[in-house]
Amino acid sequence: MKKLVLSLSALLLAGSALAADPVFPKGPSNKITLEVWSWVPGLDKTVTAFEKAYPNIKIKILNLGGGPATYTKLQTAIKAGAGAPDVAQVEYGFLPAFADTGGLADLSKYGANDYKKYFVPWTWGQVSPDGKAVYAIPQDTGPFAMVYRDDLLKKYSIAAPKTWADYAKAAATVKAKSNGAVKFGNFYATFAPWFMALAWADGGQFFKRDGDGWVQTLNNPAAKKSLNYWNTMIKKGEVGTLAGFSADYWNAAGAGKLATNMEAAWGPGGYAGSLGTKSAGMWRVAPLPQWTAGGTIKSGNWGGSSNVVTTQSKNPQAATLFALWLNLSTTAITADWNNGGLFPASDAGLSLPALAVTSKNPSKFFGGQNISAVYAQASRGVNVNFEWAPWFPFVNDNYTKQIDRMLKGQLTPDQALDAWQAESLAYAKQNGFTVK
Amino acid sequence: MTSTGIEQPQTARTARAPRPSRPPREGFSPLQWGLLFLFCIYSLLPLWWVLTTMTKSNGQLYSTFGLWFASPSNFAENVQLLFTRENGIFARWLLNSFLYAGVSAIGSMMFAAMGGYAFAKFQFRGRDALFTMILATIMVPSTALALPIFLLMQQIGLINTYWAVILPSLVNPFGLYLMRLFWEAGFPTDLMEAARIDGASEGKIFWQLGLPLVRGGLVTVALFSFVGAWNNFFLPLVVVNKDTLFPLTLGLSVWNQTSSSSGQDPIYTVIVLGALVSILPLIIAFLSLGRYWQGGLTSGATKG
Repeated sequence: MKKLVLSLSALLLAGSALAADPVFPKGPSNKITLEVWSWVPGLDKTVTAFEKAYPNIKIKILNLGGGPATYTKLQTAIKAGAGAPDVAQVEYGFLPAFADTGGLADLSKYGANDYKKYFVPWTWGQVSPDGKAVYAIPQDTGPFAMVYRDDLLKKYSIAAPKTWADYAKAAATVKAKSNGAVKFGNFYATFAPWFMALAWADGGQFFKRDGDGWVQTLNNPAAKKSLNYWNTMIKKGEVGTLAGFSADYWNAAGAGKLATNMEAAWGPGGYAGSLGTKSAGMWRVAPLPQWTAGGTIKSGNWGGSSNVVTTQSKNPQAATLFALWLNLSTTAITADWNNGGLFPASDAGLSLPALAVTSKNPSKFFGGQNISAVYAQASRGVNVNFEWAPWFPFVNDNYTKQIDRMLKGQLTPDQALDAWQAESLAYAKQNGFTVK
Repeated sequence: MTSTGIEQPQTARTARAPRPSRPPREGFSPLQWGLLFLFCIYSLLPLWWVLTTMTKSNGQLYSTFGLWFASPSNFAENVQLLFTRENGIFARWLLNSFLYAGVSAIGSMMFAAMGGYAFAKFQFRGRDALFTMILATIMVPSTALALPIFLLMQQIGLINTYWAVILPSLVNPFGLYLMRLFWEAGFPTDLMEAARIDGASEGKIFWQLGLPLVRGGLVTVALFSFVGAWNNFFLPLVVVNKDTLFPLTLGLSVWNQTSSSSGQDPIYTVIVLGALVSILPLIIAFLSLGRYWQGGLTSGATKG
């Protein structure tokens, strides 16, 4: 009897999992092969399930690990007009640059817009800025929240700050009580997207397509407010400026010399992986502090990626099907979370059972808290209208230069942002973009 | 031909002969020793870090002192991980690198030797113009050639094969230039003409009489080509689409990228070990072939 109940509930579970999947387009009637360039860990195992469901499609994967080399290769194949894969993984910030080459297929031609409703709204804004053409299918995301050392906050009798005003107050308290030994936060001085996500949460706009041209506003009010806010705490010595992912950073984080930081949904996995047993169980996640108390939680996004289909693909319809299946089917997004910590762009994915498992990392490292719930709430609060521009790689590098000058005291935060705006604008114009 | 007038008959061995007659060098002053010592430390420190890091687990990478060893058991574990990860693909990459670099070294050495010989020893129409053109191609950065090479390989259907990496590496304009100098300095035209009078065939003159005299040059060119092909990253990145065809540079870079992406178990210490394994052949090549190489360079140098 017990066995029967078990197998019944297993059936029910399987049934409900299947029910969560949208109806995908039909597969091809002849045998085809799709080439996929992606750095999603364990993707080879995930596609076996796809090949089972669509026996006519065979998937060939090339994993180049992501990063500049991957983009160079894709860029070369697109420019050459031959040798590009059917499907490729591209981060949101790089989408406009690839869309501008004309090498990306408009997926609205293959029915992609019918699937818009299955994705968290802001992610669709990333792949379809004008709401018509669709350049990619959203894959994973990095909504922002605050990670903090529960033990340190308790030690200094501070509650996790809900507003930026509380955060600044707490930073001053911790500096005073620890004689400056503990930094309350850390400003990643070399990660432009990190800073942009903070402004994004506050409605900041950095780029906007304007007809055939662009408008660039790197020195927007939200950016100025945020940078002034952080610079004040940096100057007082309450907030550090350790480089992200560096040995120094992990040493400080593991040794209790850092109380909080703003991290994307994929960040906690890095804490669990890099810190190991050091400070395990002492961390927690809370929503991103807000500028005004009491409203709905607003957040920004750092990182994440999408799947494009190239115009060189001989089977764009099947390639679109694969991209949809990979990012909407319960099987695939569960595997991507378990194998690579990919925080889904699928709306149903935010309540995926696998995300809520607290006995495994990253939640286990964070004291068994269901941290995915915090990040799911953050993702729903990410501003939909946020665009990138084709010259973003330059903007990204130039940020580091201007922030460095600010930290050395050569520029005020406002001046640094104005210089960032001016130099990036000049670069964009030099490279033939119509931009103001 | 200008080189015929210069009495610089023999190869490396005779070029070294004048050395002992020079007055022996004075020793370095303590200050000079100190500076050299500091510079030596500075150069070797990264290598030392590599050696100590091999004995660490990835967790210890951040938590232990950077310049001292952690535990030998980690070393064994790292070695095992390196050669078993992804079904032991690292060994495949190692073999690929040897194949790419080995064939490139021998092939480009032979082409450079033959081309250099023709330029040094034969008069033909357009020789100087052709040579200037070849010299000019040294100035073209290899990244600028990636797209044309990619298109060529695509058109002749060699994308994603060993040949796509090997064929472009066989062309070595700098090697050809170097070989011309070696032929001019190391193989007197008088000797060539004497051999002809004695009835030696042109093939025999090149293979049996000439080549042994420019051995220093051959080794130099082969070594340069080997190192160049061994370290080549961009070409294989663009023309190869299968991880079983990757050379070490590409494979290790993919692992490194994967390690720094989210949700992955970082394996930096394994990658560092892989990086050390990947430079061992270069170190061995330089140590074992270095004396030929040095000799060759000196003979060029005395010629002025």
